[in-house]
Amino acid sequence: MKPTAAGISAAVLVVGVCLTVWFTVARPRGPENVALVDLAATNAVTDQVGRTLRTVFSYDPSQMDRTAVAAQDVLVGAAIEQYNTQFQQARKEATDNKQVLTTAVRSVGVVDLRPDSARLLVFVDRQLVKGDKHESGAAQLLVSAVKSGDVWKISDIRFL
Amino acid sequence: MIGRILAVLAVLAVAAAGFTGWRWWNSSNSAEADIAEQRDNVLAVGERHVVELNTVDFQNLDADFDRWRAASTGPLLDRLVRNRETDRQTTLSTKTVAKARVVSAAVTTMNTYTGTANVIAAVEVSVSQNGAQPTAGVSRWDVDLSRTDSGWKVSALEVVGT
Repeated sequence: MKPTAAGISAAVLVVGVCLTVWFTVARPRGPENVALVDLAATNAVTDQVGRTLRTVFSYDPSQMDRTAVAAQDVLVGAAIEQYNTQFQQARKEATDNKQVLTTAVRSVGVVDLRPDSARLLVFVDRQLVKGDKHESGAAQLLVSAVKSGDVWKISDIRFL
Repeated sequence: MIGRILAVLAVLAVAAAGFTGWRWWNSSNSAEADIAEQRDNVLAVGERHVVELNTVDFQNLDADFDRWRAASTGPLLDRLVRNRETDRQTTLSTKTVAKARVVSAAVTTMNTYTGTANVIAAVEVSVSQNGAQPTAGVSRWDVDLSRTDSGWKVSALEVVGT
């Protein structure tokens, strides 16, 4: 049987459609975790989470209200409940004992970064001054953050 | 008439296959996927090496020290080679057994051109000396890695103290 022009066209059509479907379905998506891939986003979440930890975990008796108010803007979900419970206690001790807490961020690494959620490993040092007594401690935190608008807010803090 | 329609459709199908094929080829060779893969590799290698470098058994020193050296390069390797005898004496005299497990780790920086990277890791190390019950604690490590001919290796390792 001699191949007809229509037959050849039909064969090419079938092959073309099959390839198109396959190329579309099997196309590899970009990486899901864009930590260090999207450098601008990685730096943004690193900076904002670091700043938040420093702000909300540093206080002195004269500025308790300001710290508590600031925390409501940068924490959400479980983190805000955890924080408010602990802060009640801290507020009492801070005013009674003239207690000053300073938190410094030593290192931050982004474990996972999606368009609107992230997880970060953070090393912090905390220094507590109580009258003439100094206490210092180190902690390693696994912090979850969610993005609302342009702002990264902390949704959970887990001590490792 | 049908033949002409089929021919037009065939040309369109070939064009569509060409376009999607080009797009497929582009995304399978994307720089982003490549960086993500290298990041995951650096993290996996960093985690493995930091565990190896925190693992020692006084009954198995030679093998452990070989592993330490295989995991390191540059300044850290120099230091390990220089201190091999003192490390051996200390470990033997205290009958030290140390085991490590990474709790969490992340790559903080990575330069794929110069072949350098930094990983931070929270590592649970359990240490037993002189046959006593092991004591465990989580320590914070800052790990510098360099790319060598035989993969990424640790060039500096230090505890992030207070």
